[in-house]
Amino acid sequence: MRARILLALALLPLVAAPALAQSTLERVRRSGTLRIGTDATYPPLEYVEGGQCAGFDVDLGNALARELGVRAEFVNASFDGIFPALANGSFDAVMSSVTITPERSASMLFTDPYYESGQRIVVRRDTPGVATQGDLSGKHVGVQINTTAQYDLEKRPGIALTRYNTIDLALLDLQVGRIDAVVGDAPVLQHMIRQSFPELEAVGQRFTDEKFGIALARSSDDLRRALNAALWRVQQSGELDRLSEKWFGPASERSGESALEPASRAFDAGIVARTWQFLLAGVWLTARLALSSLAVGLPIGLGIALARLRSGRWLAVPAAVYVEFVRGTPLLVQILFIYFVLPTFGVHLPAFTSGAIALSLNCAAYTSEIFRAGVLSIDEGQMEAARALGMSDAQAMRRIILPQTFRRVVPPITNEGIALLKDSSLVSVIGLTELARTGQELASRYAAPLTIWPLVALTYLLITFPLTRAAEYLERRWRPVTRSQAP
Amino acid sequence: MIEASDLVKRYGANTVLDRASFAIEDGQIATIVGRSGSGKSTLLRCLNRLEPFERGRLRIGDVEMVGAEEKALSPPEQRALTRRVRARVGMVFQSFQLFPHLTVLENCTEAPRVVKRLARDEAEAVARRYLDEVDLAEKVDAYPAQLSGGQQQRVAIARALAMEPEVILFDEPTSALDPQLIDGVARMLRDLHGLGKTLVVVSHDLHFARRISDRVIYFEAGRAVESGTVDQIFGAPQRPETQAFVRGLS
Repeated sequence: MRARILLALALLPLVAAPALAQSTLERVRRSGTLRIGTDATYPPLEYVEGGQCAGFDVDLGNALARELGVRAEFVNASFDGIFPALANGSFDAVMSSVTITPERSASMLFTDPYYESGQRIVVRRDTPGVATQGDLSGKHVGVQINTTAQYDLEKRPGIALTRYNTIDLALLDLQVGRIDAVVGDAPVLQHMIRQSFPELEAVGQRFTDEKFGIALARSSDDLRRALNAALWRVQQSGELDRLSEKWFGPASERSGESALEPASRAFDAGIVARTWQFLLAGVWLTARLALSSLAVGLPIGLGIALARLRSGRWLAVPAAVYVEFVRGTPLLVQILFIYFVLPTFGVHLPAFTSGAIALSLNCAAYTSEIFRAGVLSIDEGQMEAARALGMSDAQAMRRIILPQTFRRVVPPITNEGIALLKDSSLVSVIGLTELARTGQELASRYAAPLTIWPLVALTYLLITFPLTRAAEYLERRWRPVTRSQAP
Repeated sequence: MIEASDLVKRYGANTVLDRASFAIEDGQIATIVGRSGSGKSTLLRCLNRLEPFERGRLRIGDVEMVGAEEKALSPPEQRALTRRVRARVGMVFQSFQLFPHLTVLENCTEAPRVVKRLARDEAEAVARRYLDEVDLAEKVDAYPAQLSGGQQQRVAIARALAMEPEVILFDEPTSALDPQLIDGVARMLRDLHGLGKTLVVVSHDLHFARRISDRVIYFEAGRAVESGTVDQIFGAPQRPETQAFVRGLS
């Protein structure tokens, strides 16, 4: 199962579990909601259907919440961000096909296992003689990155391994013929093959014993006991078996109620019709993030540039340190820091605000260097001419130097704005379903990467195109500066 | 009256002005001549405080500047003094330094509006008057890049005039122009003279200096070696350095 070694986990030691005034179970009972974090890109266990979370884990989570007398609220966030969010109290529990491992048990609690999964091998139907792990020797095998499948196969000699970000991409490569086999979670592989890879088949038996559990923060032992009791009741009543049958059993392949309808492999206009509104919602979030970050970041960037150019050391040095620091650290880590670490210092910011702050800080650092280069590119004589006319340095800067600078920096600032727009996809780690994340969810939901990703790319153009047009308009409008022909 | 006594200006160990002393009467056109590196351009920049100087005194009308080593000023005092000097002294740069993002008219109204806080129509009236003076009335809406070199220079002159200074500094006014335009520049400087301005011109073009000057100051090695009328300096130089310089040119 997905056993991602998280960049985010490196932050966990920093995230001291907040001293809670009340126990988790009390909080859940009092508020009437059980907040469950999940990465809904893993059908049939968890995926997004019509803007809502769905799947085996989701049905089970709802059943368990009912047993506790509360309502389950699913929070969809990328896998990298889920465990830090659990540690800092953003969720009460995580149900996201999480395998119980000794490493994880050291940093969090698990309920009793609720599902036994395992790995399987997938090959093209025309490939003979592969049934067990031993048969993979000498073959080129694809896995999802940081999964138990990867760790297993790395220990075996003679296997050429390629690691993919998502399992649907590995299957796509297998279908195209670039690799010989794919190893991964049995239920997910079977689901995907049924959905859109008819030339592929799962072979042999499940060969590892992996148990999924509900993950909880270390301080939530009372909630763990309550969930174990609920799990036992759901098992006794036969509901767990029914859910299992619905999502994984042979019935799931026929039942219209539960099975996800299969999609064709090539570009499928039907999927477009069903998904465009979700993509537009993603566009809206991405555009809001990018525009608010530009609106905040550009003035700060200009201020930093001026501080470095024209003020004394007491301002210039901190400004330079800021630029160095922000540019020198990954945006992803900054986002995680603001969202997950600041709460331990009592600063609780919503996901959108956190993402926008991280992007603004980055935008400021990068554009400050553009503004600085722009100011430096203006002939020093312009400043002298303004001063000789009696203007103060500030007046000369505002009236003479900056207007010329702005005209020059339009193209690089446009670059920066578009880069920012695309970097904004990193905020999916704190649960914001922006455009790229929407794409991920839809691609796994429909197992149709070949339809969804081109669509996502086109949708990005929806935002970048007007941005580029606006920049071109500004450049045209300011053309007189460089125009040399007679009027 | 511009009066300099014992000006010393150093860049590190390099002494650019070495106890330079001279005087220019109000309403005169004074031309500072000399070889390149003699310190004449630096002197011009000291006259409107684009450059500070270390020692000596420089008086322009009722404003007096004293070398930084002799009298330390607080930053607000510095700014106040700079304001007073620049209100009296305008400058036309060698490369003109027109503001490329502004039209000809805006080039001439920007400083009056920002520095003197004139209303737009007031500033425009003043600017149009001086643009008319330099014969550019029909170019008010053009941008600098659309003008010839000679036209650009006239905009620079009108821009300086619009602040209505008593003194205008010209740094090498003929160096960027075609030879056939030089007559026009000379005529224009004589016209400005007619407006009652004091002009201080730095030039290495001696024919030009001869045509326009009331007073010629010969600079060498950071000092004003000799000062006199055109006839005195070019006809009967007294100092051996001046004699060598004038002889070398004829």
